[in-house]
Amino acid sequence: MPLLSLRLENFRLVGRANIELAPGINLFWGDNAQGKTTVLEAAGMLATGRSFRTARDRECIGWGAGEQRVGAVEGVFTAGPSRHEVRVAIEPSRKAVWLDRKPLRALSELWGLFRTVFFVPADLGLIQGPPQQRRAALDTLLSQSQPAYLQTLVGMTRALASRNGLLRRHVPPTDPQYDAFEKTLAVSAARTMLARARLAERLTEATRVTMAEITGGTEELALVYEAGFGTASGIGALCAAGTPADELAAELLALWRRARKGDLERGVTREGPHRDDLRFEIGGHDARSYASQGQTRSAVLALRLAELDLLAGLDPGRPPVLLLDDILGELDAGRAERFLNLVAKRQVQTLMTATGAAIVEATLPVERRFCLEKGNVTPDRETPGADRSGGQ
Amino acid sequence: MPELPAALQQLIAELGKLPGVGRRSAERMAFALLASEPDDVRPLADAVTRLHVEVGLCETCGYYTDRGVCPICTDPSRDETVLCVVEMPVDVIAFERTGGFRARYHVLGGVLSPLKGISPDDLNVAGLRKRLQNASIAEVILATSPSVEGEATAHYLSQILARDGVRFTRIGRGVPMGGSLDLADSGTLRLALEGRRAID
Ligand SMILES: [Zn+2]
Repeated sequence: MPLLSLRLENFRLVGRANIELAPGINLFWGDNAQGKTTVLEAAGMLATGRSFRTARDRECIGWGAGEQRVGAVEGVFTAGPSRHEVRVAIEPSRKAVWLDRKPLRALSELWGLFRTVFFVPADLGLIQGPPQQRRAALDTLLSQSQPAYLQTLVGMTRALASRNGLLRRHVPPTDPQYDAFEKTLAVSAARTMLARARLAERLTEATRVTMAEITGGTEELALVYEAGFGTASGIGALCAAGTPADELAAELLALWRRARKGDLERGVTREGPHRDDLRFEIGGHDARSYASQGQTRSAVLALRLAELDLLAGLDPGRPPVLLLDDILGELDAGRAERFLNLVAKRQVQTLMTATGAAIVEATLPVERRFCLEKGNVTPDRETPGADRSGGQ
Repeated sequence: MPELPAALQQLIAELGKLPGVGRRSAERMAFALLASEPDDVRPLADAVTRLHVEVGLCETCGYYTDRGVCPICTDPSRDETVLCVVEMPVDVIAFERTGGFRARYHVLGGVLSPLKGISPDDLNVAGLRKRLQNASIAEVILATSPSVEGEATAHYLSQILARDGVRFTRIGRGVPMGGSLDLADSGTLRLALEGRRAID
């Protein structure tokens, strides 16, 4: 079982909590704004060192931290035969991560040890929302399945920012500094793009199963990788064809060299993997413009389940942990119930939040239950009041 | 707690600016210095005062020296055909610790970084160009760190300094990604040197 215990210290509104988790389904219930999502956020932080709610870590430091201003999350989990301890401590201007009591130099050293798949209400906007959300979905899954990917991605981002730096400083297009940074950029960009394209294919295969499960076999979903270059460039086709990375890098290098003049006018690199996107097609149509709200919701749930299946298949000894935030509040009852049944079928450790416990327990074999009130986490076994557990 | 005397406060603040020294360590050091005899503290004060007066950078290679030219550059037993290009003077120390590496060095003083506004003019590239006019140099090892900036700087130098009869090589991947040379142990660095390859 992956996550054995979770400890929060001055983390948002939770002053102190020691949570002993069950290997099955753990339910955190209570009214809104009592700290339910915070518990899930803390669990996610152990996997990635980051919050899924905010890019500004300091927001996680609780008021109770007082003068020391440190918020922390600790967790003990098993990875295959071994047992690990992670601590993430957040201070106003820095963050430190320890693995088995040794400080880590880079967050990438953490990724992949303890994996999570989460569903948060914001996911419902994934298909129609801005592309960075869809790129982030691909990057998160890739970083969890192959930690080297994260290093490549970080390098690519830095090389791209460096090229943009040259453009912003109006360095003339013939300056060899462009060649130097474009070479470095092309190598990491080619690897990043090929990995994303390959993942889109694997997700399409995996969602064939999960979409059928969720919709009862009526809808067909495909995920299509769209390279951040115009179609005329042929880059998208090269990625889809699984071109060797060095050949793709040579093509990218030539494209960026030719683009320098135009990029200089705009002061920014116009085309590249930072413009990549992931297109959802339902029944052969682009879901951004053609799908109903019900269809896009099914597609997002199918994607998350597919992620779970992919990660579980990658290493059967270390299944990922599923984090579900307020799924009942966001989905209609029928769809939510079908989804929860599919979750139960997969028998992975799940941490989920809900405003009431009864409706979840009617569908799912909840193993352990915690009540949240004003940031206090209390294990409970009593039946919650009927008014709270009623239909949401 | 009443305020500490001004001189003590200042020492703690100054020590705390050093790399790897937190507030607590700075306090411990300051209190230890205060507890020792004045004569025992004087050599430390002298060494700090002499540091910038006496130590400068070698005119030829940019490594630390208290003469115009450093002992490595004037050592006749060094291999004149190989030049190892590094980012900072401390990197020279890392290579020297591997033992048995008998090349000469060239310290750039950093790497290209459009993000930090460091351009070729801010690095000792002109000095390197001049040294390459010496016909005896047959190999230039580009030993900048394996970061984005380090890689790009190696590409840049191999492109602008290319000439017949000089081979440009890059140290192998023994050096940890994103790690700096002075953090690599000498075994790792020796492997990196052995694994060097021609730069494309
Ligand atoms: Zn010298």
